[in-house]
Amino acid sequence: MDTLSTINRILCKKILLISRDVSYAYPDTQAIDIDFKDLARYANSNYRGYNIYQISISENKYFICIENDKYINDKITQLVISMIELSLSTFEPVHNIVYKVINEKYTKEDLKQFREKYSDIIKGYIVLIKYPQEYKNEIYEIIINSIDTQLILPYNEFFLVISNEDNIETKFNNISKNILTELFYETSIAISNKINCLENISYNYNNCLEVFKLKDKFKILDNVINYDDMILYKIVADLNPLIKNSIYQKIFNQEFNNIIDTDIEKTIEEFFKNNLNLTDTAESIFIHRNTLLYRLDKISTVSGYDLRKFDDSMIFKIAWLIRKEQSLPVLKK
Amino acid sequence: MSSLTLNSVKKVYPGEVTAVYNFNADIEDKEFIVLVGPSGCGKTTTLRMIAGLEEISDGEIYIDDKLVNDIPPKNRDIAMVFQNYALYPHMTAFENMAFGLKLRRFPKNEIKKKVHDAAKILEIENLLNRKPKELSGGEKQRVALGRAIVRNPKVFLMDEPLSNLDAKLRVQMRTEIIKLHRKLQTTFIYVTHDQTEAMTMGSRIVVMKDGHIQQIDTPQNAYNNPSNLFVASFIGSPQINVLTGTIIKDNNRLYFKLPDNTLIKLPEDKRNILEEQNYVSKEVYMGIRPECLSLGDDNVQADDISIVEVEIEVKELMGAEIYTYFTICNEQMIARVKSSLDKNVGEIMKIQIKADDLHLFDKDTEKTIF
Ligand SMILES: Nc1ncnc2c1ncn2[C@@H]1O[C@H](COP(=O)(O)OP(=O)(O)OP(=O)(O)O)[C@@H](O)[C@H]1O
Ligand SMILES: [Mg+2]
Repeated sequence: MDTLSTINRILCKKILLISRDVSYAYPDTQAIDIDFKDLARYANSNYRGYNIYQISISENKYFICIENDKYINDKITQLVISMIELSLSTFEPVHNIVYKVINEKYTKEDLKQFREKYSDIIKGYIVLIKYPQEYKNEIYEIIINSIDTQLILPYNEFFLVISNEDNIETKFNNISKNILTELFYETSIAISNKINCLENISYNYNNCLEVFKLKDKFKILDNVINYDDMILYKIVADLNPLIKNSIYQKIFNQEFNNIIDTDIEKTIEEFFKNNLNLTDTAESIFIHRNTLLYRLDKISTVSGYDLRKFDDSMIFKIAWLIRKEQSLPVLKK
Repeated sequence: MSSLTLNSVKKVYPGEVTAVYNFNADIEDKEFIVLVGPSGCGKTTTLRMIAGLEEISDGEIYIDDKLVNDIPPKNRDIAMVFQNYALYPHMTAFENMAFGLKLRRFPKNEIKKKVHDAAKILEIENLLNRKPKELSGGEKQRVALGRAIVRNPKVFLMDEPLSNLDAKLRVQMRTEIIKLHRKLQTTFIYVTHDQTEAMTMGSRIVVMKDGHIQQIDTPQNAYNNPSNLFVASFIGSPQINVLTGTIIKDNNRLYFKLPDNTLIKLPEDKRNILEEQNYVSKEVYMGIRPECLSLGDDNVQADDISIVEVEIEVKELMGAEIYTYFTICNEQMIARVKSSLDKNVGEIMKIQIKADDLHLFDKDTEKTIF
């Protein structure tokens, strides 16, 4: 924000502006070494070499932190605070705009007007990361330290992140692992497609929400899921129940139910996961290739579907998803 | 002090999938316990229950005699290390190790001390200012371990931390972790599917299959006295040779008789066991480790040695030894013999079997007879 950089220049002091929900920070949250959780507690006092002032603009609360060794609230300080208040009231931080876009508060005309202005920021994948209230700051810290983000803002029980990085899935897998090891919290992360303009946010945001729904429905264990990988799940979820039932009955006959155990189940899962590649599958579940072939033969004999054949495996996969959706696995050991 | 007790712990996932049945173990302070078994046997589930990430369906878990069933993971005083270490790319090694403590609001000087102490243990003091991209694979792995060490946990939980590394680095890191355990003097619980890893690292190993504990023992004991056929086959590389046959009595001596009528002498001192438990004339499995099959010597006429003639099918030179493959009664067998073996593929080789080296297993229960 221009006002802040001007004040910063004149005062020759470090200055930070941060919204209470940590969704907006100037220059950025890394700029000074402060625990954001403590800000509210230290408002109107000196904390770790910064004077903390709290202000409210419409419904949003902000903290201003100005470098100083003791707490003061003189005329100059008040002037500075007023200037910041004034500029904040005319300035609409991008996160506010994004909130409004998701909530469809804008007309098409409004959107057009913002589109150009934010074209640099609104570029990349839309990612939703679930967080519990108690770890909001920690998870925020983990995200911004793991990946370059265009935008990160809390919304409902999620952080909405826009990031333009490559290998996005791997990076968010790392984030989920770090959240787990640091906080013992098992998060869920949904990655949507790449967007390049404001209007697309809301559509992709909803796709991410759908990912979470499908994850629950099909009991998917992965912490990080890409919307693109959910297409088949979506199709199955929307299938006519009668068709679902007939596919299910055809494949999971009595004979199949007699042979299925954890080994067979794992084999099927991994064979799909490894793109029907025999060597990779055998390796991933640490069995000999011949054992794998033996199991696939067994599946083929009882179900009539040979997973090594494309058409068979496609139908079988649909049936397998139906089975997961219905969650009927009564395993015999 | 940090002991760990699992008392009849059970895990049933939604959908009635029982992943772990009745897990009982008393783990003492400073032990290095390895959970080992094939894919899907419940290792990760057990570890996650200890961590508190997975609710237990039945039973109790105690850490230091304190019931932790209802204690959230963050208050259990544990640290976890996973397969893929994900270091923060823009932070130095120091900052990476300090990060978790910073999140937990530790004072700066305390963080500094803890990180330096951990770095000393890991011998990476000179690398603290480097960013991840300036570190080798092994160094990154050590920084990742450092992130767990700085927390000073009572128990370390590691789930296949090395499985993504290349073979050479894996062997190197195994040693590092053993060394680390010795220096830290805390309890380690380590999950792997790799029996070599289990054998070389664990002070005791827990062999699991289908959610059931098969045996809890020292690696040596699990190898020498496996509790059943599964443990015997799972532990040891190459795998133990297994043959099916019948126990017979001939001239007042007990033999293991193969389908082709070959007789193999059974140890005299185990005779009582077999007779008392009515195994005579019954079918059993016989196991013999490849390293116990040696080259036959016609001059040896000991009372406890049997000689079998086999045709060599494959020879693999492994340095000081040769792995020779052959078939007995349709079963693929393997022997580790001295590399002075002068026979070639297709030739007949004499194999000598010592009665004391035999393992017998019940045909129905697959439990060890001796
Ligand atoms: N969240 C879950 N819901 C339902 N079933 C699960 C869940 N997690 C694991 N399982 C099942 O429980 C069993 C044990 O799984 P677990 O992950 O503990 O095995 P593992 O020994 O760690 O295997 P691996 O060596 O493949 O990692 C498997 O059959 C698995 O499919
Ligand atoms: Mg596992």
